[in-house]
Amino acid sequence: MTTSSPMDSGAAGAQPYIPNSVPAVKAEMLRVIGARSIDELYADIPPELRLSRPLDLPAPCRSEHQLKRHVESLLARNVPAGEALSFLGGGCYQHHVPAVCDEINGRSEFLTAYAGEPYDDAGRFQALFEYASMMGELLEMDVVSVPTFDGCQAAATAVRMAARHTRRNVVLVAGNVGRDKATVMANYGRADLEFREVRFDPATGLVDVGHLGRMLDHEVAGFYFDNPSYFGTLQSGLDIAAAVHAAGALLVVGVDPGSLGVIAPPGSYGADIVCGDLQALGMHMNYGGGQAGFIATQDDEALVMQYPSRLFGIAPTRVPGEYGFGDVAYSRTSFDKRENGNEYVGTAAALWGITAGVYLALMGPTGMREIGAGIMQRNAYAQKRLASIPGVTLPHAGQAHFKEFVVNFDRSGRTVGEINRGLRERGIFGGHDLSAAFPTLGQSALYSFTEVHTQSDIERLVEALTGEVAR
Amino acid sequence: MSAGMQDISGFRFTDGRPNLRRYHQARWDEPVIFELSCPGERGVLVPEVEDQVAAAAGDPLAALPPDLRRAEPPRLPELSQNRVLRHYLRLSQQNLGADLNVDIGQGTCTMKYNPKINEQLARSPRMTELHPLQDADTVQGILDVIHRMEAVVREVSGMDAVSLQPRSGSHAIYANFAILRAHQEAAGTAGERDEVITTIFSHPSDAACAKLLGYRVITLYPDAAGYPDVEALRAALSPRTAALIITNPEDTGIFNSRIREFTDLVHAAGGLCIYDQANANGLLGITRAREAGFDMCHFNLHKTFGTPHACGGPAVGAIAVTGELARHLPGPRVVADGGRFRLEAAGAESIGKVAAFMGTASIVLRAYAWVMSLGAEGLREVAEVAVLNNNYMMTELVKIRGMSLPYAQGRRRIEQARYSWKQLADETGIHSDQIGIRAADFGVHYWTSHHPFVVPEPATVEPTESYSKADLDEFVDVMRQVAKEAYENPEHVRSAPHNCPVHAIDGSYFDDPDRWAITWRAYRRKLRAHRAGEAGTK
Amino acid sequence: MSRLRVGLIVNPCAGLGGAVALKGSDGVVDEALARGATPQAATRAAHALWAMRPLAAELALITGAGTLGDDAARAAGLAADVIYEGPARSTAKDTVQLARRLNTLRVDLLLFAGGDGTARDVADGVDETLPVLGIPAGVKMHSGVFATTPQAAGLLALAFLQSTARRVAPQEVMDLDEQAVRAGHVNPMLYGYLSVPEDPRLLQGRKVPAVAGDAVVAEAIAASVIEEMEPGVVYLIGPGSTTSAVKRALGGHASLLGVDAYLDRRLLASDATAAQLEDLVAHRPARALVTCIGGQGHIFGRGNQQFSGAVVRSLGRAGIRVLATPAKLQSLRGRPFIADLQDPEAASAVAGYVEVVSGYRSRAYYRCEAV
Repeated sequence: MTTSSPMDSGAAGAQPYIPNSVPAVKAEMLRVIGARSIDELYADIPPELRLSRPLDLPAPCRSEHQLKRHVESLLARNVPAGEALSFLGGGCYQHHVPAVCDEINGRSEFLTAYAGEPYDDAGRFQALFEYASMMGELLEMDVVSVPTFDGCQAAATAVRMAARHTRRNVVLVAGNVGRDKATVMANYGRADLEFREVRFDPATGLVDVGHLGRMLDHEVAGFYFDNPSYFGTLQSGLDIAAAVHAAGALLVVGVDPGSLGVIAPPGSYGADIVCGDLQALGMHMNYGGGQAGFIATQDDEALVMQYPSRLFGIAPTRVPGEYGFGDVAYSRTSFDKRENGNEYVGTAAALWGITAGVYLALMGPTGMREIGAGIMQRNAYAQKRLASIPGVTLPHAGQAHFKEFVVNFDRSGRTVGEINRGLRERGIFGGHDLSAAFPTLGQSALYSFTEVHTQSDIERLVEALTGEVAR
Repeated sequence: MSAGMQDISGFRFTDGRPNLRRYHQARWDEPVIFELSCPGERGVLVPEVEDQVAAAAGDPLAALPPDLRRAEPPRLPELSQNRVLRHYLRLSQQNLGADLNVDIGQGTCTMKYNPKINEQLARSPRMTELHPLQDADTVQGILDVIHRMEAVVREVSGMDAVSLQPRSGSHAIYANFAILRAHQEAAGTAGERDEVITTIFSHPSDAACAKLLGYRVITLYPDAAGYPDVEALRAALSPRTAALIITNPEDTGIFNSRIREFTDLVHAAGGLCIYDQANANGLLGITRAREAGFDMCHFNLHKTFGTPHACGGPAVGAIAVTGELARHLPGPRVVADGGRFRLEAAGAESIGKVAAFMGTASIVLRAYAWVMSLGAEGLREVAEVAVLNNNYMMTELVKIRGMSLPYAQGRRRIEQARYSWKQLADETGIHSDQIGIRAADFGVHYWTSHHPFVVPEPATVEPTESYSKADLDEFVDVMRQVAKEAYENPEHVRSAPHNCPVHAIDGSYFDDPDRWAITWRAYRRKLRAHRAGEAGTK
Repeated sequence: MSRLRVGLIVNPCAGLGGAVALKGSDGVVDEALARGATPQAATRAAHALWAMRPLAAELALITGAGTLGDDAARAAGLAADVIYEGPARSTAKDTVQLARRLNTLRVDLLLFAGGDGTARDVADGVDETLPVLGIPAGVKMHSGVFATTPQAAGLLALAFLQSTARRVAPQEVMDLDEQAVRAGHVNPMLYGYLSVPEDPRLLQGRKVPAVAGDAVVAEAIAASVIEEMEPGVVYLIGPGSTTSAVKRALGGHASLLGVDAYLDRRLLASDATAAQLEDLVAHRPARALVTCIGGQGHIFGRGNQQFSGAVVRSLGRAGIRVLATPAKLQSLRGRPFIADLQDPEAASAVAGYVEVVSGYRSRAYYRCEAV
């Protein structure tokens, strides 16, 4: 282990990631600079701020092979959902990722690009414009943002947009929104917005429209709900939209884009701002690293000016017939106006936006319809089968669902935690435990079924649950 | 006598220095994907529902409320699989990833090499197929990685507690301000302390996040030498000061040696100090947030820690805070418990969540692998070579006619520098952004500055440790060539780009509500409306 | 095809004096020519027009005969419509007349080549709303209506004419008494305003004008300032485009070019003299709101000399705030504000750093050099 002296910098050999770590090259560069050592280049850092010892970090794996062994030994202690049989949902879903999606987002031309111009990075701009355009068709809306961090952030920004647009500061949020999302939204508005919860009916899992009506007043900027909800339930939106608009507020709806091959987009029943998460459109779960948020509206100038994100538009170039892309209304962003722009903008999840575009292009309208219909059929089948297990009830049976539903175990006398532990021993990941976040639902879990689940997978779950419930 | 042989290398090099490339980016004239659609083509097929399942389920759409039934299929394009692949591969060829070019023109972005082994490891199903709500017992590996990476960030920063939940640098800045607010609410000072001080060179998000969390922003402009001035800070401090957020070195590459004086003054006034460490690449193992007196800091893992920029994310912003502020960190947190890891819910004083789930764990894994391949010595080498490369660039670039390096005359810079083309602009009428667009004709990126421009006609260049001396020389040669053209053939610069996939774009569309089109459907609609309008006036 | 109509006025006397060490050119043309000066304005105008050639096919240049503009147009290879014939040796009156005619024609843009004097003459002839841009050709230009170089003027004109937004912002026209300058007394006053195309580079460094221009930011600054006005405190608001936004928001018959005093958001005194201001600040708590006037970054001493040394001394550092949009600060290209007070004690109240209101609830601290 070499210790560095003040005059000479560290490692003896060259490092593969650092071309100029070759000592002779360093010396030549120092000569050109006119410095005797690299230490001279740090002259502006006062001695009392200089670290006097090496960083205390683990010994490195200097060869690629050692690194691979080390990291793989850590990863070996993960049981991926594909090895088990997983029915987890709740905002992140196990879908098939078409190989072409990984092929494209693995291309280093995209993977290692960043913030170049629409000239040298023309590909990125076009790919993101196409993603926005395809999302626009799914959503039947003319404006779709460059992706933000995740669906929680998209919701948080969407309600702030509503507040800016209406110049009101109260936001109503449905109680059947995931708790994490509600927390992210409330945090994001903590300085100047007031959040009030609209109850959901535990018997149906749906927003209590009567309660919504009583809470709407002239202070409300917008009402936010997810459709499908966190519980997977689908709710009619027309009367909600009517009530919200009558109060002069905006309707903000979170949607699962994977449902839009068969489900009507929220704009069609009156949503003003639509948002959601793109993960289901071609992203691996990545322990939560595959999330990406989107926001969409109609092309109303006042609404467009509320977006904090970049918006890419298409325009001709000086060569007839050629077109390029660029930032629309850039002046509304913090990039242009610092604290006088809308919220803030920066790096988020652009590669997932490009991937979502690839996914939608591969799937096409027929694929999106088939996957949506198939998922609903599997969920309907699973509901029937699970409902037949003694001790298991479905609190929201009778409601339409998309790709997940709540399963209740109160009658079994066992907790979700106990049941899930037992399921794990059988190689199954049971539904997410809702008992802490939604006490009114008792010992309930959120079970998700997608196109990756076969009939025999569902039957295996039925058999396992039957066994677990009876223990 | 045999026939002669041509010295091929002779065409590529002059006196050992490579000639400028006859670079031309791919120009596929690739239509917008909708224009490639052929009804009936399929790109990928979906698993069919088994007969018994379908029979038992019935028609799922029948159960839907009528207003939720989609009336028409979405008008997505229809392409077969290899046509989709080809389209996007062509677009990728029209994109200049850092792997392909000497990407040092994107200053402050730290466009370093993203090792492919890390990419390969992170694409293992034991990372990609993990659901974020899986029981902790089944994800001990990734929890361990998160835990270890938090320890790395603690050590690199000198701080006491870390969160890797934010999904970008700006997101991390936002989280730090949320922590500041939570701290004030706990201390009862939220109402009285509502001002945040920053400098004009800081990232726009520093000011924007402060404003978002309810603070008034006070911006310090630099003194004549380009440093934030202590007197200006004193003028700005007051009983209303909540915090200072500052970058050091700033985007100019200048290190403020009096930073400890700054943080002491802010603390004396009762405020906290937040360190935006987007510019950490030259400081790893050299100096730390803790010793400089900061209470909070953040790092961009997709900059300093070698994870890919991915066209703008996914990414991670790591935040690190003193022990006193640790209780405000977002949750849940990874806790080591006798050889195993578990998730501990956020406490009552936590800011709650800033992102879904645990943030972007797949990027944390890549950053961890990067650190593990280098170790303490390697991180220090990264910093030192980044600084060496930058000072070498500075020496070479200021020799170019029309270019200058304002501020801090005669002093070194850390890992990047902000230059000024003011002299060239005054003499030729060519502006900095035009230089950048002509530079694209040689296969390099270029960046001016954040807005507003304080340095006139700015160019911000950050070599990082990833480029060789020859690479650096190439970039200098490109800058020299473009500057020469500005003086000798300005029209050629003004009409750039010539070698990129597209030519000069008509920007007037982008600020005109009648003509801006953020989706293809909007474009088609407005085009029809314009044509109808024109027909009407004939 | 509807053409782009551009008016052109060249002041053939502009710039004559400087090279031969006469400060400015008013009234000294003979002397300058005798000393061997060559007319610069036409050449500079031609340079500016040359940069506009990409638009030549759509351009309809309208100008005066010979040295008033047609010569410069020909030198740049552009055809022009001559609508005014002046005498052989044209004077300021001809500039005003030609400007009036171009104003009546509502040209898309009026370009003039000259200095502060020419700017004043143009201002006399046009409505405030006509877009005007100066091609710098004078000796010293204090007015904010000029581009940095003739070429920059041509390029800015080109960008402006091609844009659909056509953003303009009011810029100060300065009134220098050149004889007084020559005699050693510099006393530039604010003469008026012209609407000048916003330079997209100054706004955001991009090729395209912003949707929300500088005027919106000025209003945000005004809103912020008014929100924080304390009761019982007199606010002395100086002239300038940013401070005018405050006056407009407060209403009342404020002066365009002078210092107005407000108390409890109502106009107390309009176009106050230095003596009146000194009296006001002696008897009440007071704050001054000033902005930088002219192209050199002056916050005191150019166009607002009513803020005498005595007034500034009374106000002190805490009593002075500068209102400036980020675009205005950027246009200074890193140079500090200048406070020309001719009073060391007053100067020390603003030297170093001054507090700037730069947005809604946003402040900045910016360097100031003071004498």
